[in-house]
Amino acid sequence: MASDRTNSYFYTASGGALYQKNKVNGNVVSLFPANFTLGTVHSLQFDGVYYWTLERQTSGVLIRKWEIVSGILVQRSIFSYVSDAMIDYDAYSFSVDYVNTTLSAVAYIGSSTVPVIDSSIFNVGDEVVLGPSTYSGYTDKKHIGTIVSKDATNIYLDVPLSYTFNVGNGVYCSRYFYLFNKYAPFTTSMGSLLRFNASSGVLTSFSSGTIFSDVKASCFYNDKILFVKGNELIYLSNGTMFLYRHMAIDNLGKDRATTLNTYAIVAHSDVLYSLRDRYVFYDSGVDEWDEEVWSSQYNYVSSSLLSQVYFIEVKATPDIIHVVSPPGVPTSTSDITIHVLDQYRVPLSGKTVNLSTDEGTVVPITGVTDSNGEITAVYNGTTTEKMVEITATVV
Amino acid sequence: MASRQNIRFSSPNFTTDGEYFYSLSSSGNALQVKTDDGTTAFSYPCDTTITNTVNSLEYDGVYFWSLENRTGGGFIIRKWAIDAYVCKQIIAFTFTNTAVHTYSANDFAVEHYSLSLKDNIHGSDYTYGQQDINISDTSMLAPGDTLTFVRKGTSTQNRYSSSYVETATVQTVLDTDTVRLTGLMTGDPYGDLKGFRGPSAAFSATEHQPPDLVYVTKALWVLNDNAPSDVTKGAMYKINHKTGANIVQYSGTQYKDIKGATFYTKYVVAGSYPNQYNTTISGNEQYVIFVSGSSVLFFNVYSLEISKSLAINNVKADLTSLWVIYDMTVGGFEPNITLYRLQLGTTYGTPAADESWSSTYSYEKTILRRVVNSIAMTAEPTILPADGVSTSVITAVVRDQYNNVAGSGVHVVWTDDSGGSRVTPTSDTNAFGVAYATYTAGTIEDDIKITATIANGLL
Repeated sequence: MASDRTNSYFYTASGGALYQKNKVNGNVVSLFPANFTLGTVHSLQFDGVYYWTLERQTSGVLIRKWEIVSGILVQRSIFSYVSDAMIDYDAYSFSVDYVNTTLSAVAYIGSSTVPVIDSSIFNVGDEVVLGPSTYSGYTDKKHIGTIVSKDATNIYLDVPLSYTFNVGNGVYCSRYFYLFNKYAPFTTSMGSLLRFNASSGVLTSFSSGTIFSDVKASCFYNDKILFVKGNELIYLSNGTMFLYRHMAIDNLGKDRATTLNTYAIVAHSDVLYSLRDRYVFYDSGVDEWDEEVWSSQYNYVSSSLLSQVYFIEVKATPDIIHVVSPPGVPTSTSDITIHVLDQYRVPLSGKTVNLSTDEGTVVPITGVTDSNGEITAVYNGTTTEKMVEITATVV
Repeated sequence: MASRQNIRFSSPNFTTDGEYFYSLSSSGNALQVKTDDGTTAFSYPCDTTITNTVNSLEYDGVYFWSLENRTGGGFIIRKWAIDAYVCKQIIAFTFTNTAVHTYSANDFAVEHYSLSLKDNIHGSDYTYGQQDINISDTSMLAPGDTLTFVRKGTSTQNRYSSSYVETATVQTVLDTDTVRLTGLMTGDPYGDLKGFRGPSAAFSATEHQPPDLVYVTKALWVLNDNAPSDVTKGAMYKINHKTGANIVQYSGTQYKDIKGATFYTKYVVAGSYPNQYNTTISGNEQYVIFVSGSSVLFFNVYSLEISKSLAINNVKADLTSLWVIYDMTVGGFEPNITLYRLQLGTTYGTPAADESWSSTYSYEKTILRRVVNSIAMTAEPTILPADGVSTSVITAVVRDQYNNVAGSGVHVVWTDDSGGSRVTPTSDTNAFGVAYATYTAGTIEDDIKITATIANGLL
């Protein structure tokens, strides 16, 4: 699954073609047949200009770069990686990084000077793509060039522009693609993240570790490589491949124990779209978890990448107390601590929490979380032995 | 009725750090962390692939320890730390069968102690640059022990190779609350070049703060299904936690085929929760506790004998069969320690009904604090003439869940159904947990029922 610049459509490669689907209802908007035979695609990525595919081979992987031209999916690059003495290639997922900005003024045909909003994101030597053009007479045209120099407001290309481009037209550059490989160079006991030059396909760096093995879903978003591992969405810094942050995602099955498969992810406008084969939900009617299985079809479930209330942890200390006794005999109470965290486990302060219980009393019944994301209360017991439930709700 | 499931783990192992529950999943190859309601709080991918089912997981305050049986015989014990969001294997001990030892185990315990810094009698409340360190309790320490100093409030994921922790080696134990380390302490957890601190550091003498923590792990105790050279018995294997070397074995059928074990130390603490400080061990109460039928047995690692037995309610509705307890862990603060039992179902309600959780594991709880569990009553004599003056001595023996007598001062309220309240209204138990009352006969022949009630069951 991949997106595009609009966040209105999702794309999937299937049966030798690229399907463009309405994000909301799944209707097929367009179908772009490939100009070369396309096998089973395990990962589809969009870098702002091109679509990239990952196919598995008998002893390796095939990475291809495609461009939609006049309704056809045209192959632009092909990189084949076959297992050798150094490394066994075996992967299901990859992602392609990119930087982009827009033109700050019209860039005219024949000129090598490209005025951009932000030139700091580019390096001399980067291969950039301008377009598609919206300038009258050059609609949808693209231009590829290599940066030979730059200053604060312009980049200068090695070849003059073949077309004219409007203010606001995009300038894109993909430097690397990253392959989540089951094995690491020189060892099959762990996985690795392999970094390849996006223009030449040459392996330029790698990072080894079991964290990179068996990764099925990854994408590139806001200068970070995102991938799903276990019950986490892990962010890696672009280029360095260093761990940046972790986010909890709810990808447990209806038994709340087994982890569901996530087949692909796309991030756009602070929303993570995860491709799954079922939807798991809490059925308050029967007070249990349930699922809707989509048999052989895949749909997305979405989750926010913006900080929001995710964990409301309620702790009782002690968690077994004495029943309320007759007057004059000491009874037992329990200290209740409520901890409110976001999905990155950052404590959330200033959140109003309401408390309730199905038996006995809890005091106070409302509070505002402190800088540790905590409020405390006291539970006063019941007169009969039983299991009681204390519920915390964040307003 | 909602299910009584809570943490819902997919593997038969778990432990707690007091805040969260942890389980090592071999299928997901990750250390999964959950809150009570089954929400996944964290998930740390392992840097080493585990292929066998992990039967037991323990936490020693710094490291996690796992036990798994090997395909083809023997078992593996692994030590893990959370390092930069990854569950990192520190060391693995593989035990393979020999002519003497047949290794197979479902559970083990990590003998570890959670201590705290004491105010330094050498004129400083801080550790930086010090070699002689005051610790709340040194009774279990010996030269060569590795101490891990942890700044209080440091979360479990930051207790390995972070500036909040420092490890040091004991050179000598100087007295009951001082150890000399092999070198000067250099840790700077607060960034003020003062080091770790005791309960009075920067506080008034009357208003203590929780001191920084000191952890030490002493040994691994494996409940092996086979005794040395005798597969008809089991054995408690004491194993060196640094080298994996076999130290000694204690054989007996009581150690055979055990599932569900952990380590429990009864601490005495100064101050009250949440500011409990100066942790010491009360009367050498340090146990490997393990499940045997519907009891938990307490193996004292100092006296090397089973010195207590605790009744737990893991009996199914048929009153005969038992829920298997796959792993155990303890949590909470003294005196309110809770024993958590990992099960695949539970029995509850009136009348009692079984609820099976198919393949997901959740916990049931047992309180370790002594509570009144039984009151046994006798009357002497049991038959009185209806003369209005004859008396019978009523005796109630009060016992806790360990089947020990309650001790003195338990307040018993006596009632009878004669309509005239002819029994002593109240009395307290003596040191033997026995309370007496006197019943004075009425003038009409009747069967009289006398009831003893204890309102406050905490002991």
